[in-house]
Amino acid sequence: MIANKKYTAIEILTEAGIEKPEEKIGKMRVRIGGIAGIVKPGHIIRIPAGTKEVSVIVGQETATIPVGDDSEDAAVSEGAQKAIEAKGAEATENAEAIAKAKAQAKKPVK
Amino acid sequence: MATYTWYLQGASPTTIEATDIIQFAGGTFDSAITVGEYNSSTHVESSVGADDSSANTPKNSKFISQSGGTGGDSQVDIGGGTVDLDTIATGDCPLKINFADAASVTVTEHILYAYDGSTVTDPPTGVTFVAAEQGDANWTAAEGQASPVTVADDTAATSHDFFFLISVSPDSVGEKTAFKLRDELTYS
Repeated sequence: MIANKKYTAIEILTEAGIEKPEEKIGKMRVRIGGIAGIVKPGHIIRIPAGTKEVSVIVGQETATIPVGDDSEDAAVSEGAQKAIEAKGAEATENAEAIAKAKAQAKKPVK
Repeated sequence: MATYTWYLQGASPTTIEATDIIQFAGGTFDSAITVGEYNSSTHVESSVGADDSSANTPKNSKFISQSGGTGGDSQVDIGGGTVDLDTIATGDCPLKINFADAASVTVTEHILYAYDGSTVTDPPTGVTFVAAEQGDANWTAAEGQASPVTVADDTAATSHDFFFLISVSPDSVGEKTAFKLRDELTYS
């Protein structure tokens, strides 16, 4: 795990050695690097440049993950990439709906 | 004390002060964008109309398509031709926002959007605005607080840099002023 990179919550919990993390997210308290209220495996989390370690709390379990040097430019993990693409598909649907509504509003009223 | 600083990136960054205007233009400062087309340049305009970013070769991001790229990715032109949106590096994003605090803090619930300048839920008037966080696959029609660009949560740090691509198209002729950008976040 390196800094200046985005990961999903499930990737970070797996890296932290949490057993069966997919069964715990949404059911137990999950806190990653100080971020509370994580309830989805695909929650995208960025580890800012300069970070040296990330603490993880799942229920009563705690762990600390060492973080390697910064990625040269902002990077995205494989899991985060999939989550971003899913977010992008929603953004595209929304953009198309807005464009349609604008076009409709421009039509002259007869 | 927390600080919140906006920059228009370029060969050198231009700090966007509270009274400044981000000017989306045609090819040059103060030039018009044709209705239905997107900005070919971005500038920082002072409150008295001066081009504050003229010496800094400011970056620009121009909307090309919503889903015409690889695997449905959006497309953008940052000056070298059409490319997929998610290939743009942080240094080529026009807008950089730094949030810093003396304490190590997380940044969550971070959103960016445009509005009409008076009611955050109302879209900007007379323009089509799109934005994306660096690394996003698709543009977001970020008009009004209900449809913002959502930014990934940041784990605790004393300084947080965020990079955005922004692009705008006029829906009609004339200067558009009922149009502001707003960035919201929670730190703790």
